[in-house]
Amino acid sequence: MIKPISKLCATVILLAGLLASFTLQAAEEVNAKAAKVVSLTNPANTYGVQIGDKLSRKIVLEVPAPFKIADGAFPKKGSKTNGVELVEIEVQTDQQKDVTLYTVNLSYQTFTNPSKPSVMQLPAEKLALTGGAKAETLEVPAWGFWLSPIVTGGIETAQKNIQPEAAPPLVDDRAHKTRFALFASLLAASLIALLYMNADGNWLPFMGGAFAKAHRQLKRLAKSSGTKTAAEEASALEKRALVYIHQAFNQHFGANMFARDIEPFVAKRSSFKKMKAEIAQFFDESNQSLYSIEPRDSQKIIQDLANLSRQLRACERGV
Amino acid sequence: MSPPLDAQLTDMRSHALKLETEVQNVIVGQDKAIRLMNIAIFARGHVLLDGGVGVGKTTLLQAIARGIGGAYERIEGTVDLMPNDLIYHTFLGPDGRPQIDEGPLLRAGENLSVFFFNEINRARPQVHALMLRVMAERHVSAFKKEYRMPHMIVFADRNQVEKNETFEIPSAARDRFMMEIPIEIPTDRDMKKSLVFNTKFQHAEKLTQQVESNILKFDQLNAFSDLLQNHIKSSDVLEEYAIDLWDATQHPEKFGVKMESVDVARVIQTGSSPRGMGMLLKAARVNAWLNNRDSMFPEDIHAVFHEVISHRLVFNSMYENRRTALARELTANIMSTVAVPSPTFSKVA
Repeated sequence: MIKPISKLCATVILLAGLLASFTLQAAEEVNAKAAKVVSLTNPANTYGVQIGDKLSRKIVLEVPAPFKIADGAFPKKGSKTNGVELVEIEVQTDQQKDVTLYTVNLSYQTFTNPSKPSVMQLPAEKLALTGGAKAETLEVPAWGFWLSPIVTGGIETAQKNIQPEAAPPLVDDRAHKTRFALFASLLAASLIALLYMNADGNWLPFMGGAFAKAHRQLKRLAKSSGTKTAAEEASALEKRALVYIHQAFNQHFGANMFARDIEPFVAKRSSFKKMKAEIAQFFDESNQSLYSIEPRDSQKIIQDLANLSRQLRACERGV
Repeated sequence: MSPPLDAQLTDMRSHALKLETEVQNVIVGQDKAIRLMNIAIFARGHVLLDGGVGVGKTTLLQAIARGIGGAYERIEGTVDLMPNDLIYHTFLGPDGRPQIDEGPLLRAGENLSVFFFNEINRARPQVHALMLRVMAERHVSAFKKEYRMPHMIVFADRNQVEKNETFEIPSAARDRFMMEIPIEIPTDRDMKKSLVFNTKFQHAEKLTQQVESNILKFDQLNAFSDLLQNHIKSSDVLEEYAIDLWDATQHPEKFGVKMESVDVARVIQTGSSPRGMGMLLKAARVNAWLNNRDSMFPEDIHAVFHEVISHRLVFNSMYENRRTALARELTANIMSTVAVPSPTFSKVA
């Protein structure tokens, strides 16, 4: 008695298994053939949209072979739906082995002017699939958004509320201006100081001192002495160079200055104190050049005097 | 065969500096005057000492005369001194008969090296005339023969404090003196104390005896002076400067020289004479040599400028009574104002 029941049960179980297997296979075949929306990218904000704004959405569709979307199945540029006009459409097709990928970029523009915020939507699209055994469609859902009026209550309200155009508030740049003025002043002062210390010209007050003048004359003399080779001429130029320096000393000292006057001179003009040794050497060299009969290297002496006069000019300018 | 020139110059310089040192050891506070007198000895110029009473003029001269060597004679200037008192003097001999003998000027003959005329401004102009002639010519005729005094240097002094019974030396006579050297009381307090409290200064004769005698050879000084004068050179710059200084003594206003209390253009009647400038440069050369140089520097001229030039300046009469102070101021201002090297020199060069 138990044996026939067992056989029957086994048979039922086998049949049930076969049936379940068949049903699952059929469902997989249906799913593999269905077209679908792979991705849908809508505008970022559903609010703050006003008349004339452009709204874009990007749709990626996957259509299994043998289905296709005919060119005419896509919405037409210029079509209007409830105040929203499709102003641009671009379709890209990517044919793969079993499927075709469609990338559709839709650009809408709002052309309605409500007097108060209202809900609008980018329209839903129903795309027809062709090429298969039977007609299929693929639906893209609508996307709702708030359209804001430019003014509330109409133009009359706007006219009442109109305000004169005011300049936008300015960034407070007083601190920057102060710093700029400060640094510009520092730069100018530095340039003037450099000019005062190094310039040969007589461009600023206190630049026309006796040694500044002597230095200018000596520089000219040094140039001309380089071109003249006759010993007699060079000696004459050397003496003239010494005269320039002596004159400058005399002018500062207020009297004819000699080596014995160096101490009173530096006491009177303390800015020259650091050059005391060089001044003493100058007077010694000057005596040798002017009063000794021995011949000397005039060109070198003139160059040395030009250098000395520059140092003395720095003392004169107090730098 | 004479030694090489450099050796002669060096050797004589050491003697000259030794003379200075010896005299400085016995005469304190007069270093500058001693240096100037040393310069005058080697420049062979006569010297007029100017100073008050008891400042040590005579002691100084005696000390220097001892160092020079040779004979030393002196005479006192008095209002009754006559020229013949310098030439001879008369006296009664042991036999009671009048005798005549050579005076101080002739007594030593050619060995006379220093003749000291004390208080020359007390002597009459006739005496000045004789003395100045002897100073210029260094010889005099007497007793039907000519007496030569080739090595003689005259040191005269005058006391400018007292004016009674004195005869101012005329400018022409002053010009014969190479230098007028002021002898002043030392300003240093320790020196003053030493002069008063140190008893060695109270015996002038003993003091001068401490100076080594005959440091110089008086009869060689003329020849050496010529040698020295020829040896020391001057550059064209210095010559220009000397001429500028000369012009400045005549027309100081042209060089911008100023004086504090007087209009400088009205002070000077006559500046330095050519003889004065010649003496200035002779003295300056000696100063260069004493400083061991072969060339003259402006400092050499400055070292003797006042002493050589000031007594030659002839002031307008209204300024004569202030001569000493004005001359000092003027010469100092000339030296500090006349530029060397001259700016005009640089333009010419």
